[in-house]
Amino acid sequence: MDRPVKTETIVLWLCVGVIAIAGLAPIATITIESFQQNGHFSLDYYRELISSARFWPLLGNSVRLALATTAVCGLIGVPAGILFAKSDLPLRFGSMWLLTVPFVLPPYFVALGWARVVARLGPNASDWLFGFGGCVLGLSSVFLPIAMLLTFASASNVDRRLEEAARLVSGWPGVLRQVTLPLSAQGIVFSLVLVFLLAMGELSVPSFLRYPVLPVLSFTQFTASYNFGAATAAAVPLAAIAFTGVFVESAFVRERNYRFRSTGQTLLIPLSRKRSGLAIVVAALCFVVVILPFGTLFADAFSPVAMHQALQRAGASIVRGITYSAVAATILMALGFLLGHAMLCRRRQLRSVNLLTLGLFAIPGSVLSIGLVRFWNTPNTWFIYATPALLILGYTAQYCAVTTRLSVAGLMMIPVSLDEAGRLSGAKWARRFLRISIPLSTRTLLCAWLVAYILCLRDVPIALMTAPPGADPLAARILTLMANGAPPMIASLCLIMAIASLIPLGILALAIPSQSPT
Amino acid sequence: MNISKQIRLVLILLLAVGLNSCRSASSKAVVVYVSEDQVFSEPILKDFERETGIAVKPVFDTEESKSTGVMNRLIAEKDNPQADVYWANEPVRADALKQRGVSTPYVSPSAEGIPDQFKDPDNYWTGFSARARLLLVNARSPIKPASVTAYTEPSARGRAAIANPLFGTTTDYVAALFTIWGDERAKTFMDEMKKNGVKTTTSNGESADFVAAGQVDFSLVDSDDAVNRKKQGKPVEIVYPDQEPNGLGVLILPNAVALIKGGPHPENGKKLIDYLLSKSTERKLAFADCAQIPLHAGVDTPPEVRRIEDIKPMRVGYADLARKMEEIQPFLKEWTGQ
Repeated sequence: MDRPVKTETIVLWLCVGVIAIAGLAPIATITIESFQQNGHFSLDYYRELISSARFWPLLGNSVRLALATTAVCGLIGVPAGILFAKSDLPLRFGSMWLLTVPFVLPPYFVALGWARVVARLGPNASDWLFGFGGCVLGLSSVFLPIAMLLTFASASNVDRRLEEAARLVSGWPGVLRQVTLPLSAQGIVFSLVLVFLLAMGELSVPSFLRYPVLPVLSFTQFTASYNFGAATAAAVPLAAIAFTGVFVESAFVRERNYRFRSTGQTLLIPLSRKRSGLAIVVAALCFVVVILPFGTLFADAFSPVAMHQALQRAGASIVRGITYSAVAATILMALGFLLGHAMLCRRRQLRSVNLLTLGLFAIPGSVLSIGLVRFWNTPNTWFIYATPALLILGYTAQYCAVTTRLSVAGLMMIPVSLDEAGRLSGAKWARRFLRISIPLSTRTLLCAWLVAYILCLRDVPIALMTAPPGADPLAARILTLMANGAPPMIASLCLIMAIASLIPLGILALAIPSQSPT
Repeated sequence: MNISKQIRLVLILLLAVGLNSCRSASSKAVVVYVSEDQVFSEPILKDFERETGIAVKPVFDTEESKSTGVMNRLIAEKDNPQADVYWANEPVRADALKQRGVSTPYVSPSAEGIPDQFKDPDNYWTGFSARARLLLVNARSPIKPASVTAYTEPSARGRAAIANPLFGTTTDYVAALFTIWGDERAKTFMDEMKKNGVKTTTSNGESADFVAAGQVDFSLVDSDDAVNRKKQGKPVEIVYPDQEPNGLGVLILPNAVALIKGGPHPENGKKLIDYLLSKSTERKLAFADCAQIPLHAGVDTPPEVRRIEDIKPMRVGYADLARKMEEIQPFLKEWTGQ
């Protein structure tokens, strides 16, 4: 007799189906195209790519840049996350959220801010910024919050009883080394993999700062040659590296699948004499990473004329950007939570779904967008193609990995015993999901929604390529207005964008550290 | 009828109304994909909307932002076009659409008076309001170039800039040199220019800023960048290069407008094309910050914008330019190291 299909299996496959429609099918469409020339199977695009004199140096540059960015984020972000989660550093939450600001804005904002800083410093600084050093600075500023926040979250969730027990036999350095860091390793490794993947695929900062990287090659095929097959072929190495990163991360966490049981309180490391010194270091970091570039960028933004012009030019785009992002965030939150829940019930599928979502996350937005255009532009699917639905699908495919991971992390903190008790009392999956998982995950759901909203709002490539005519969101409009737009007006638009992103960041800041450290 | 049925009915009605409004709203609309900078093109489109009552749905792109581009979108949408009109910021892109069968011929009555040199011979696109490729020179510079060949002179060593020739109007200019001079001479010129320490910038705007700041002595830029810096009171001079009788001439790059084959609103598309090609639009673009050169004779211009009849233009076909641009891509990629 056939075994009945479980509800969680159906949910899992429905969610995978949505991701397949949103991301996998478009990518498959253009991947097939990359293996065809004149309607016949051909490996010519790949042969040309590998034999191209520029391919290996560009790949080398990309890897070098991604490794350097990951190293800087690891060396600064991980200690900063631990410091903010575990110490009595003054103004630690304020500093942490201030350092998060570059991540919630489009990456080119940081590069633009630094370009304005060095314009005042002179040509020597300009020479340094426009190259490898400037790119590492820009990308590290943007991605530092990933390492910092995920370390903070992982370290905050370590059960204080374990640390208290360790504290009986060891000093704080030993506790951190033997208990806190190993128990936070999963989150830290994930954050570093994420930084590496994002730095590998990032185009706007390297192209603005004139450092040639592999995504530029793919991009050039789109812009200069209009050759979609060749452009997709050029993006394949990026996807391959992304998958390798995901494999490495999965292999690392396979044996370390902890279930945390947070007590809602965190032990604090008393910094005593080092308090002032560390506070100065953190303040200097905040100044260099946030205040200096953004202060310079926003310096001209407050003039009433510029603000009026900005609102006149982009008022509707602001509303659209917020609306699209809110709708996409709601879908991403629901999809990520359902997927996360179903994945925890069916752990065998965990790795495959992880691979799928992270692969889509790592694929450059411009490649995904071309795939979406190719796949959905048919007379019968105008209701998708000619409406914001296409943009929402793009966001869903690209950012589903983030909400799924956040949901899995949140769900893993719910004691298994609650679900088991529900199961023993005869509750079906759906009932346990509605009555146990959702009520205990309100903070997880809120965080997932806010993070998804911020990611969608700051996205540029998908917005630029898939927004319907006359309905572009703000991030895309700023970029198109930047060409010959008056600098004060652009500064005002950047400020408006920053406000639209920082309001949810403020809510996130209020939502996350609701557990008071003791 | 129970509540759930009522809700279902309301939802179906809302969906039907929504879908219907999407369809009906589109009949009094025109979809235009725009490569001209949004700050200059959007006011013109707003004027059209106000004067005709036809809603304009634009998709903007910029050459300077190096975005993936509406051009790609048009090509990707070829089998199911969504746009009616393409407003290109230079004819080469419009010609590329012709080559790929994306656009369709249209002879606009407003095109009368525009010299044939700036129109596609088969009427697939029509040029209007042009930029010129000029030399912007720092007023305090000892170098006073009169020709583009100044880039290779010893006095210009490390003191000249050019925007990345892989993109935008600099590609057009280099392709024009290859077309007029032939491959060998043009390659030699490019290599000598590189050996002479030319600084490659990300855009013409950045080149103009370098000149204005005295970081370099001169650069080839678009006329709008040059006029802008002049209006801002920067210490710069504008040189129309190669104007002597046997000279190369100035490369004129008009905007170009094309009707998209199979677009959803062809009649509204034609009305928009007529509007864009009119003398009044050319006048507006001449007096705007983009300071574009009208192609109709007798259109008023501000003092800093030369009339087309006072310029010696380069004699080059834009279709030849388009072909040459594709041909020299490998050379340019190697030259730029990208």
